[in-house]
Amino acid sequence: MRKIAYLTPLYFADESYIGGGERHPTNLARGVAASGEGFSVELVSFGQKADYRQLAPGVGLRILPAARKPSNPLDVLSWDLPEAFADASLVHVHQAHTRCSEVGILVAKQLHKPICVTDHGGDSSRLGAYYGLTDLADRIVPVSDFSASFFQGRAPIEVIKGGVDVDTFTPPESPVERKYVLYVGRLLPHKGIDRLIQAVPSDMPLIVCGRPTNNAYFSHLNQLAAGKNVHFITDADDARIRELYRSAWVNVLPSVHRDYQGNYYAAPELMGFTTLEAMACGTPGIVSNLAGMPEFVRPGETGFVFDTIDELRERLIELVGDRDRVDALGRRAREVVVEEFSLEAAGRKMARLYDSLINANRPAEVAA
Amino acid sequence: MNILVLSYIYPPDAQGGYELGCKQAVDALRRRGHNVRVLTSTPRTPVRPEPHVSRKLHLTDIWYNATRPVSHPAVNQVWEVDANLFSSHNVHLLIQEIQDFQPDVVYVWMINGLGGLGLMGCLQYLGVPWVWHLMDEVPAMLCSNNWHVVPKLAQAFNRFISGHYISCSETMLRRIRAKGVILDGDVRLLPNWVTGRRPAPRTRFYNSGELRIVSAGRVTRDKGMDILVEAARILRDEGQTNFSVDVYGPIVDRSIPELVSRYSLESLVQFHGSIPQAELTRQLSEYDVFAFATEAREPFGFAPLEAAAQGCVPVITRSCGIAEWLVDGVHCVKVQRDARSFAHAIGDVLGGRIDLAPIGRRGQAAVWRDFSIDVIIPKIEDMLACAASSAQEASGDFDDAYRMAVIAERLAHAIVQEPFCA
Repeated sequence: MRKIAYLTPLYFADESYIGGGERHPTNLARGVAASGEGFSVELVSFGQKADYRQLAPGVGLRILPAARKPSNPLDVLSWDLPEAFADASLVHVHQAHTRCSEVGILVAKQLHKPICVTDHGGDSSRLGAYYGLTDLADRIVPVSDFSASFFQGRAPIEVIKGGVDVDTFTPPESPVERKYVLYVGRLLPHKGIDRLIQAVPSDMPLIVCGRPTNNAYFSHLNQLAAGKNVHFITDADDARIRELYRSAWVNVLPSVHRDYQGNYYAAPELMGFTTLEAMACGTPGIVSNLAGMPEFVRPGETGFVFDTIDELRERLIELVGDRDRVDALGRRAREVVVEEFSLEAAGRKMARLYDSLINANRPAEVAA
Repeated sequence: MNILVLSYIYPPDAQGGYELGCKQAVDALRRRGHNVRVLTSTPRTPVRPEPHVSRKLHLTDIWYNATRPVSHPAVNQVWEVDANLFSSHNVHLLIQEIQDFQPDVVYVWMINGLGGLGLMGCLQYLGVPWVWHLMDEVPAMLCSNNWHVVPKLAQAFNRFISGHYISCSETMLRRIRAKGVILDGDVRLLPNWVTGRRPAPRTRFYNSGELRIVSAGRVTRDKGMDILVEAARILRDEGQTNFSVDVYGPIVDRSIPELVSRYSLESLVQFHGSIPQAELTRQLSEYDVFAFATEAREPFGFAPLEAAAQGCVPVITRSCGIAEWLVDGVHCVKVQRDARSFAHAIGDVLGGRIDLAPIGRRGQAAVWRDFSIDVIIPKIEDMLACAASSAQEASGDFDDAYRMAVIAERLAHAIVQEPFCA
């Protein structure tokens, strides 16, 4: 059994962080472990003290004691990184532009480990980017073509999309009533939720589900929602989210490059994980026509893309109430996610990639 | 063999025995037909160019500390990074030298002040075989911050650095390991040595009259120069005045000569400053006793060996490095490191209770038999060949090694400064 180390500054749990950039490595790890290629995966992350727990068959979470408390949690470091990587056949660094990934790549390289790097949008340090850190990687593994476009170094790129748990996120066993338009994700300005609230007609139910990590933005959303049929859910777990997906007409991910205050985000969504989860539950996705999101939605087949608030409003009016059409879109969305974007599909592709990189690196590993 | 020597400074730019030893080893290897190139720092004073010596490295001179106490702590932290951890400039030059010279082995000496950890990491990454000649606790120093070993850094050293080491004493090895630096790999003990032409066996030894005592080294408390002054005072106060103590070496701690004045010992103890090495060697044959009151951490000490080579009997601290290699009462006299013990030993010589002649004769013979560089250098050569033959087939890429050094240096600078910027 060959071990793959996944370095991730934060992990998907309440005590660390709940976000797509944290869920994705965990799902991918499960997919790799289940691939049948003889891999186990150990997520290497950080906490106040050392810990280890089994997350799934072949997937462990190793918590290293953080060496310091950085101002940005993505910049966390531990002296124990070399030890954590020592018996790994390959190190996959999740997040490309953080202090954690900068040090992690150096440590892995010094140990002659093959290295994969996947960006999840964390952007706490540009030092590595400035000095071509990712050129030290054996493979850049972006989650979308859009994400790949940010890498222009010499390291080869292999895009592997998806990683959704299609066994957890499933359509309902028997048809359920579709009742509302849905948004799921963190309540942050670059998510463009303000645009969605503006787009929904006042009598159309909208559920906004996510953790309000930005108080000012949450207040702004509440103001916009006044007089509309908008309901905020801020404490949903996975089971609740799944039920929300199943009963939605559509799931909307309205992320923006420029938020309501004019702040610019070069990469607001590298993939848009919640769209894929909703699609896995048989609910069509509607996404902004920007960044990585359009790569995962086939317009008219599994969902739609939009450019303007008016366009979004028209699309919502068109779909909400048209049960047959929405069900048809949802069925196809589920099929596409299972075939192309499931954690099993992504895990198999990733495992094949690891296998080739490990075999290519074997002499160096033996020497090291 | 093509041998690339790495040393922080190189004679005539030198501080002490470590650098002189490096040059002696280089000269001896060259005499034996090896192609030796030395990579060292730009000299602190002008020196004549030598074709086999490349003086291009940047030295962060942590030994000159005039500004350090008043520098901002962030500046000092960056200084420590440059001195101990990473210097991309020096890694760049090392890589160039490896590409150009294609050494069979890199022979590493003192590398503090050069970002030594990064240099070793580079060699390790590139799979270039190396032998690290330790005459001081260099690995532990490299893992230090403000002169104290950082345990986690030592752990990282143990994880990443593995190769061939030569240590001049078991005492020093124990001290390095006690600080958490394991020294993984092939570790061999080899003593320091004496060079030059073997003199005729000494025939004149102290019998009676004035006992001529000499010491050499930096005039500091860690070298025990204050202990010698105190010992002289004890002897004088006991009524013994038929001895003299001559000290050669730079006066670093002025409080020690002041002790001489305070105790009115001017007629018994004299400081002569530094003199050329060859002149000192010649002078040693004129003395009866070489007093070496150095601290226990002294890894070895060339000077007592050079004294013994001239038939001048070393009276040495029992626990220092060279004490491992010489036998008490056979080649030298060993004492506890305190003024009373040194005074007692000198008093025993003056009183005829210790006969210097047999000790001096045996010591001189043993040194030229076992500690001559002609005897030691084949053992070094063997170690270098052994390392060279264990070269790894797979190795890292030069460009990657340099990129890693640049990023590591910049990262380390950022990390050590961040607490001051918060």
